[in-house]
Amino acid sequence: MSQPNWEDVVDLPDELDDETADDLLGDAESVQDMTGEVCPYPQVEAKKAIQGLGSGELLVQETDHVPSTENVPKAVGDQADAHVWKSGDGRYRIYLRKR
Amino acid sequence: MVEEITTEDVKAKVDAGEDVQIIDIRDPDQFAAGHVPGAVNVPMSELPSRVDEIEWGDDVVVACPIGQSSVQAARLIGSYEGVEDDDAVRSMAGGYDAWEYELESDE
Repeated sequence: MSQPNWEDVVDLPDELDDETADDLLGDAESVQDMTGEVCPYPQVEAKKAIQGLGSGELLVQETDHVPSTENVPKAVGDQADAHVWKSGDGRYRIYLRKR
Repeated sequence: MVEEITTEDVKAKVDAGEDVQIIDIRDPDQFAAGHVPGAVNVPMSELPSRVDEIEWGDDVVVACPIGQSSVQAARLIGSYEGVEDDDAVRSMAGGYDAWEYELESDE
């Protein structure tokens, strides 16, 4: 019997390819390492950081908690456009570009 | 789509002694400090591997800090084949942030 998996039940934002993800990481205004953190800390930090960004600037959160990829974009709502990059080994990056 | 249940309704179920299974997906230390009376702690990170060892009832409520992760947790539990389609797996709206009633602690 197969084990349930977070990725099957989480509504992931649009995915980035490896190259785009790496390029964008270099452009990011702010990078937050949220590895090991769970709700609600990543949401709170993302909201705070987005407030401080100018339009078009990019915030990246690194996480190993799949549900954050849905909850963090939801928390910032329509203040930012969200993309996700999957490393393939259980780590994710959430890209939030301020509108 | 995961249904949500208000903290008022959860509280009413607990008070009425209804057969409701409250799954608290926060960390064990947060759980120990105070939880909805009768809740069972299954930390989120352990949920995928433990979903098949839990005897799921037909009325499950998932609780988390602010009621977001619990939505995904409810989806995860609902997707498990041991849970019947007509069983209710709901998320506690607003999570512990919205819970204004007494908490039960392990101390």
